[in-house]
Amino acid sequence: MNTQSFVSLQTPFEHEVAERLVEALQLEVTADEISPEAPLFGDGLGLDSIDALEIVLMIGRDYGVTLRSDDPNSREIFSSLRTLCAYVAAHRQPS
Amino acid sequence: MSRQAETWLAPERGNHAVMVVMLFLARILGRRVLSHLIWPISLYYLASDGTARRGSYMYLCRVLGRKPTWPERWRHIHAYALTVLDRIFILGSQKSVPPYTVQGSEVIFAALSKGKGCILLGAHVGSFDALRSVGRFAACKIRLRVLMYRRFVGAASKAIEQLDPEYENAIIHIGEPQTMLHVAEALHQGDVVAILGDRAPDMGRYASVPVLGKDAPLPVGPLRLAAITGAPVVLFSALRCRDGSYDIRFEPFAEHITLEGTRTEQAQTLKAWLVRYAAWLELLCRRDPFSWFNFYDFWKERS
Repeated sequence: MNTQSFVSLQTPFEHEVAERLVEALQLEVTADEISPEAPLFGDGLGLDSIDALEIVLMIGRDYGVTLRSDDPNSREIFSSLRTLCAYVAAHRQPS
Repeated sequence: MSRQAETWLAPERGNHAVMVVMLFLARILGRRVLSHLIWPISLYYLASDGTARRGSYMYLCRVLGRKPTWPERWRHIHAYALTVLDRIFILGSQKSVPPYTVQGSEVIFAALSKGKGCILLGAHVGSFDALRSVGRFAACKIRLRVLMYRRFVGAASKAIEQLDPEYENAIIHIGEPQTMLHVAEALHQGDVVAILGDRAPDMGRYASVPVLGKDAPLPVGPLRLAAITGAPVVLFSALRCRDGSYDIRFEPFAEHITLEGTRTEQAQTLKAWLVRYAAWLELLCRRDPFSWFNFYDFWKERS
């Protein structure tokens, strides 16, 4: 099992979102092990489109960010932890 | 054909030119006459399509508990041909829409009354399109969406589907990151989302549960979806009767699926639900042993 830590490559916000992903999806990796630029789906973290739905619910609940299925950028937004975080950071509601 | 290739994830067979002729004959001859004339097509597929023939044989051995006779093997393929033929009349909404009876429609309305939409869980047993008749003629408006894996749909099927201008709009395509988001939005609006839950994609998550006495992989996706969205799950079947009518039934399955704990614990819960689903699937096969349309290596006996 590859347990390389990517924590030094993550920004503090990326690390926070990674922790919430691990919690929401019950992933069997730690937040440190999620490479910010690796694909979330398919070969990378191996998530599927039902996990994507969980992620959308999580960012809605925790950051007040909505993402609709007809958003033309959804494929890009879900491509990695980094792109997801960039989207959330740009759209989050001040709490 | 290679021995590893016998999954359902393969380009569909069927000839576009033959289908154009069938559509023409359907218009001039009508359903009853045409359904008596298509037995040579079933015979041709029995002779020429090795994957379908072996898939049918493996299934018939399990459901009958013995080796099937050649007339039974032909009857199985022929039952499929009749169901495909009926698609022309169901989607074409011509005068000769196949008659049908409905049991348990109150189950759907009770599920929808919770305001979280409804997941209709079916199987590749009998007709999927018969559901469209119910949606079209129901007393109350039901918005029906259909979750489908469409990559390998052939030209012949597309020719049939073009008969119904609404067909494509009702489909939610499997295989995009946003697929399930789309489904969740539909459920949130109170739509009914129909899913056939008996084919596990090669890469997706599945659980092995006994079906007709041997473990087979079934997808956990539909049940995870129900758990996340809170949508109730209703079972759906439409078997073709001997008189050519459809026996459509809706049966309660889960008011709410709750997933808690670690991934491993959740997997056990999902498996327990799939065992129940498989038991229902078996009952369908016992009611009509010739309406099973998973013509591939369902039990992974050859790979």
